Amino acid sequence: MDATRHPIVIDTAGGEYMESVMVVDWARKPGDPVKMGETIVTVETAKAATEIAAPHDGYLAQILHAAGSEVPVGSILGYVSDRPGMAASSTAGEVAQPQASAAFTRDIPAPRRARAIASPLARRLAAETGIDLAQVKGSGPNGRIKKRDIDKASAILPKPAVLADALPIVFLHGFAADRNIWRWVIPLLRVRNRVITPDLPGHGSALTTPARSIGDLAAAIAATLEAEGISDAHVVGHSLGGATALALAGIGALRIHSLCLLAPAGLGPDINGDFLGGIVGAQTPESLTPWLDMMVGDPCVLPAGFAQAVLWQRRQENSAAVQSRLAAGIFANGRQHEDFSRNLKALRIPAKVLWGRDDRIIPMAHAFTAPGTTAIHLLEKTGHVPHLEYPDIVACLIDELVLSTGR
Amino acid sequence: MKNAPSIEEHVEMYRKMIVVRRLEEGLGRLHKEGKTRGPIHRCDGQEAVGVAATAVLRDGDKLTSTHRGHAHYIGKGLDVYPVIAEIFGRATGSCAGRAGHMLIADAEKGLIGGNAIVGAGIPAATGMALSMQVLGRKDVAMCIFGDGAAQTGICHEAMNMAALWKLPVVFVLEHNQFGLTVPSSVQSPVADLSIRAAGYNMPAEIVDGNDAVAVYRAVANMVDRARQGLGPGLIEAKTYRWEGFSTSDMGGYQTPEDIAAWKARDPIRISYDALKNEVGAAALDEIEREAGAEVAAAFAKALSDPFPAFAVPSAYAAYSGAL
Amino acid sequence: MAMMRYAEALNAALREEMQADASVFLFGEDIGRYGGVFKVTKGLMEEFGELRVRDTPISEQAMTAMAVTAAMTGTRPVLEIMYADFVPLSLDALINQASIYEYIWNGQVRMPFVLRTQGGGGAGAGAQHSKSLDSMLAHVPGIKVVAPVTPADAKGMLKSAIRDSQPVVFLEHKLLYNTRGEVPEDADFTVPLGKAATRREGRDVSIFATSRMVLEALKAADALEKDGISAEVIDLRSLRPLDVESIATSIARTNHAVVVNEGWNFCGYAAELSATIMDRCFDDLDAPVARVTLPDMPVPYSEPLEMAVLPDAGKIRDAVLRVVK
Ligand SMILES: Cc1ncc(C[n+]2csc(CCOP(=O)(O)OP(=O)(O)O)c2C)c(N)n1
Ligand SMILES: [Mg+2]
Repeated sequence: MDATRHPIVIDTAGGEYMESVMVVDWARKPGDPVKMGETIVTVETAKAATEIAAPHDGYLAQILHAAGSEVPVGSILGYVSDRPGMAASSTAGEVAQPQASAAFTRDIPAPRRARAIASPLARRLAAETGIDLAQVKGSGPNGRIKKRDIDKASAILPKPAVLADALPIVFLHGFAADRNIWRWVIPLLRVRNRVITPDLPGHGSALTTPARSIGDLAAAIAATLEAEGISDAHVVGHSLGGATALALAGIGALRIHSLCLLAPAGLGPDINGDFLGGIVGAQTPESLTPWLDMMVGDPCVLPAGFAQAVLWQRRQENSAAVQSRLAAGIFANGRQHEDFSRNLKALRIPAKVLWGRDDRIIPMAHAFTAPGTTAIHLLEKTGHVPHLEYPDIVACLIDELVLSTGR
Repeated sequence: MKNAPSIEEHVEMYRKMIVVRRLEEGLGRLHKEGKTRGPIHRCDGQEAVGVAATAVLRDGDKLTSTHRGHAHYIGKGLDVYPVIAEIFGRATGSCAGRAGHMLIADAEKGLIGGNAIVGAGIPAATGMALSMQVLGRKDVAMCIFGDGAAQTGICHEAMNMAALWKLPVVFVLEHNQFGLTVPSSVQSPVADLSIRAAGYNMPAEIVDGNDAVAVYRAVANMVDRARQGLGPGLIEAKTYRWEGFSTSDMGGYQTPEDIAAWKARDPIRISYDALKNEVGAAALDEIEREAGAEVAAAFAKALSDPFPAFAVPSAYAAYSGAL
Repeated sequence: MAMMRYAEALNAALREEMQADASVFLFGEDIGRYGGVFKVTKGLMEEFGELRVRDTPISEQAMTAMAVTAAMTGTRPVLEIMYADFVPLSLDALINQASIYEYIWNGQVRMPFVLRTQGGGGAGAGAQHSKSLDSMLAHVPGIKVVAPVTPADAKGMLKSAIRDSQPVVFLEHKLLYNTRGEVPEDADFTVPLGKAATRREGRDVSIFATSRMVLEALKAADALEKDGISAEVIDLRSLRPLDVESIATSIARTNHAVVVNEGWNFCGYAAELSATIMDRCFDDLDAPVARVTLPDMPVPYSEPLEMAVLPDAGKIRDAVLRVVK
């Protein structure tokens, strides 16, 4: 089967942070010709029905999830083939893997036993500590995993940390992303603090909230948090979200207890203007992919179909125009016009700046404007999105920060 | 005549027999219309036994009944309305719809109560008599039971203890000729079951169960003895069940001749004839009309009453530790 | 406190309750003049007279039915059924009578009676005089079932049972009557029904036992200590209502459960305990629950045969070792 097969992917659904969607209706039968961009399948999120377009011209080759099935976000729903006659006769046999686990191909887990044999208690403890039973060797009768086995496994694993009066952690995404971008980091956190993932104005669910400057973004986030009754929090910000976090610190409405900046804007003048234009302007997977590749240190880490998903979402939201306007205001002429390094210097809280050594969007050198009290982590083989590239390391560093405050 | 009922008492028995008859007829009608639930055991033709035997009792006296207890219920003083409401499973029934027609109880009236385990009423009444004796009360317990129940082992155990300890209990055997469908002659080698009383050194008397006055007198004698601490007695009241065993009886084992012969000896007619000269036919007819109207009104009201709401009874939580 | 035999403790409870409440009376086979085949009612007929302490004919079926209705009409009968093996004759009165009336008569009656009986093997009494029918009795809603093992509980729980407004089946064990223990002499001393007692604390496994099996479980726990296993022994005391909280609390600590009951295995009381533990404590269990019971067969007569079937400390220890493995 050497015809190219293009996956039909449901990645982010309607901007909602969701685990799964329901397949409502396939508009085509296997074998039918399809045109790129036309609706091929409708899925339903908690919010509404959402139409998914064909990723490519060709023929609907295979349906992996029939109407009525519930599918994890990130799954491949089916394939479009370049050539006719590639339709699989049934949906049986091939089961799509959620893209979330396929995304980081460096450590695809070994195939599991159907079901680990473990005592109910061992199961519960494993779930609580985030231990994968498949990786634990059972010492009980029948190879059953018992509590003592989990204890042994968790002795070498960091314990989940439950802080007494834990503060929420606010995650601020970067330009042209949305709250879903934190999906890979959050489950890896050991701290059990509540997480809050607002969308920045002009993005995701806050698409229509007007903003022209980073100050506007910060003001909007401050208002959102205040409305939720949050006066104290930890803040994590990426890129534009990092600048927003620094601006937020300047406003002073929110008491920030720790700050973690991932390749933040706002610490220097440089930014890759071509990238900004390219990422917002691209219309096809082919034109978008190079820009996405530029974002990361190693293109392999991007989930298959990531470009399609981004485009799909962008079409759903009609976000391109809004975001170009925002970029035009904040990053006019490929420069950063607002500098918040003073805000960082003024902070008397545990803070970290994380940067990929291969960042091609904002230069790593900006990190060195941080004051001496700020920890700087420079990650190898990492581009502009460490939270996509090395979510485990990012989660670990956030844990450290939060734990150091005791809240 | 010793222990004969007064005219007023007889008139009241006459009235109650009509209430029971109208109740049974009404249930038969509603059953045919498909409006009843579960089997219903009618006592048409045997009303004199239950009504006259209980007419002798006081409120403090206790009564155990059977699955065929409508005459016993009304005789012991229950209003027909809560009885009908219970039969139709309503919240307003004697037991709020929990018991149904075979198991009705009214502790204040001393009816505790109907029992659908054949024979179980016999030790039940005996146990109440034991309690009365221990407490030194002057009350008596009465058990009305069938010819079928007389064949149970527990009947022997209970009567033996009752007589042995001279307990204040009166056994009223309502001999209607049948167990479920099997005639008494196929269940027992003796025609007159009361001869067994001799084996317990207990007095017994056979009476015409369709003659309310005869039943009343015989039972009253036994109740007097029991109240005086002289021990139990047995009355065997011979009667006949006109209708089938229950509303679900397919019939075929009662001969038309037998039924006709017993219908000619309708206990209500016998009381009517006996009372006619004393109080006049007009008064009796008026009583019959009023009784019929009372039952009709009770049916109408009960049938429009609400059903009970279900809740797991809190009392049972105490038994199980967790519900 | 006084050192007493179990049978004497029961006798004291009966005497004190009869002194305090004239509506309490006793009946049963051979309980009066002779004082009971296990001498539990010794001297009570002399003290309280033949009206309140009655020798009966051999009529278990009617007597149990009579206890139900006597209780309904103002007395507090205490009925002795000589052997638990005879309780099947009482079942109609328990299942079809006592269990239903409080509910179906909508609270019009109360049935404060106690059915005392004794069961269990180990005395060479043969297949018809050695059974533990706990599950058959505890199966019935509307009946409380208790089985004290210490003399103090025998007294305190019998007093509570007599004062209870609901039917109580009071299970004794023929091998317990001569066991001795400290018993409070205070007439106000009672032990509430429905509460288990921890007889020995432990970390590694919880042994839940009933009646005489508590003593075997304690012996097993001693042996297990030498095996390096710390066993908790819980005397359930009240079979129904069951103290589910105490069970859950113990398992939350030890994560291992062994249940011991002298009745049959299949559909037995131990099976109910296992199911309850599964319902309540599934996520606390580090191993399946083990049952130690009589095998599903009659109790044989000959001593080595009888000992082979009865649960004992050795079998309990084996079960524990299996569970903690
Ligand atoms: C212990 C028991 N066995 C059988 C039945 C089924 N049954 C219900 S009524 C009945 C016949 C009872 O005959 P009798 O006592 O003469 O009462 P009758 O119906 O004639 O009023 C039988 C066999 C029962 N309810 N209980
Ligand atoms: Mg009959």
